[in-house]
This record gives sequence, structure tokens and C-alpha cells, in this order.
Amino acid sequence: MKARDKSQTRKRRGQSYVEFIIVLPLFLIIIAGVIGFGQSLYVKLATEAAAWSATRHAVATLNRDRGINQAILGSRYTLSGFGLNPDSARVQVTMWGGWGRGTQVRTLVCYHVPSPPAPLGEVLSPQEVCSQQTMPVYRWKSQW
Amino acid sequence: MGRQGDKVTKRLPGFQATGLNDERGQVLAWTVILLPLLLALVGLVFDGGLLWVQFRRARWAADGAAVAAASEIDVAAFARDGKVVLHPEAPAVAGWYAQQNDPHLHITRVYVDEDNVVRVRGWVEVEPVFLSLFGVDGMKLNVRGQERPAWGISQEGQ
Repeated sequence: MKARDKSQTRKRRGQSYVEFIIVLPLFLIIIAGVIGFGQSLYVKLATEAAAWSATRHAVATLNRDRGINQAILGSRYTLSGFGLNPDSARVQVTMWGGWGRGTQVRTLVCYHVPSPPAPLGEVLSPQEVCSQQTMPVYRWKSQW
Repeated sequence: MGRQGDKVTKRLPGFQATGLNDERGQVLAWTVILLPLLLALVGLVFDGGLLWVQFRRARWAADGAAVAAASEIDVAAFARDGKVVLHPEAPAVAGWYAQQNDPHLHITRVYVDEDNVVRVRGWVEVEPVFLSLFGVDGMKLNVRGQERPAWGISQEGQ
């Protein structure tokens, strides 16, 4: 009787394993999707914030070189604040006309997203997430 | 242990013969039941994240629009009364920058409050993906932006 019970238990356990293995890929795909999506979303938020911060800092100065430096620094500090590596980001500052009061300045911040540590992560995660922001250089700064 | 097993067998006749067959496919059955719930949860998380990103983007776009509007002030009026007064074209300028930063953002109001802060109000229509399956095609979210005009600074670098 004891041996028969043991054999039944083994069969049951084996059966559960087989069913679990059938279902496992489905759950892994869902988990990979959630991780990949969450990571992309977080990076998108970070790049949006970085683009805003970069442009905001750039337009606060009337000096072109300082404006570009401030844009780069602003984006780097913001990305660091989000716990991201600023060295993985690309910052591009574009201006329409010479840098001066009211000049339109656009900052593009792109961040290279590493693949999430999950199966199919490379497929689900985009390689680069970009955001941009446009503002005019302060028109009345240092006017008085 | 053996005795207890015997007792159970006696109480449930036929258990040994049919027990394994009854339990077959249990995990799959649970999966079929729980999978829709899991997918619904994932869908809500997906939509929540998407809406949050769209909302934050609109917020920053509104702040950018406020920066632009804060450049369109009547300097003579400020020099005379110490009050920030917007030029008539300030709403159009704010709207243009808002469109540049977020094409879905609509600016409804640009004004100066009692603290001389330029404020921008608007709305953005966000489109969920999962909830659209249940007839929720768009949600209107109100956004605000603000900026203090950069006056009163005496020298570059301040």
C-alpha cells in the first residue's frame, strides 16, 4: 500500500511539472513584456524630464556656448537623478538663428536603453528613446 | 502513516482508481481561469504607464509654453506700474510652443496671477490602448504650466 501511494504521488508531481512547463513560456513572455515596457516607460519619462531641464537651463543664458553647456549639464543631472547613466545619453541643441533674446532653441535628448534582463528582452525593448523640448531664449533677462 | 492512508481509502472508495485522472490538467485549468485576470492587470498597468507619460509630457509642454508666454510682456507697463502685463499675442505664442512640444496639447488660457507669475492652462486628450477595448477611446486631462518672467536681473549669469 505504501509503495503504491509513493508511486501515485510521483506520477502526480510529474504531471504538475509537465503542465507547469507548458504554461511557463506564456508567463515568461508576459513578464518580459511588463519588464521591457516598464523600463522603456521609465526611460521615456527620464528623457522628457532631461529635455525639459536641458532647454530650461539653456534658454536662461544669453551666451551661446554657455547655453549649450548648461543644456548638457542640465540633462546629465536629470538623468542621474533618475538613476540612469548620463554617458548613455546623446544631447543635441539646435537653434534657429544666432543665439539671442527670443531665439528658438530645441534640445533633443536620446538615451540608449539596455535590454532588460528577461527572455525576449532584446525584441521588446527599443534601442533608443528620444524626447525633445523647444523654448525661446529669455527675452527680458538682464534688461534692467 | 500506512494506517492513515488506509482510512482515507476506506472513506473515499474509488479514490485510488480515479484520483490521478481527476487532477490531470489542473494547472492548465487554473491558467485558463487566471490568464484573463493577469492580462487585464497587465493591460491596466500598460495603460496607466502610457497615460502617465502622456500627462507628464503635456505638463512639460505647458511649462515650455509658459516660458514662451513670459517673454511676451509689456516692458513699459512693468517699468511704470511694476505689474506684468502680457502682450495680446502671448496666447498665440504660447500655443505655438505648446504645439511644438506636444501636438496633443491645447492651450485654453494664458494669464498673469497676482504674484506676477505667468500661468498657462490647457488640456490634453490621452488615448488608452487596453481600455479602448471597453469603449474608452480618449480621456481629457487638464494641465497647467507656470513661469516667472526673467525681469529684475541686473547682470548676465544671475
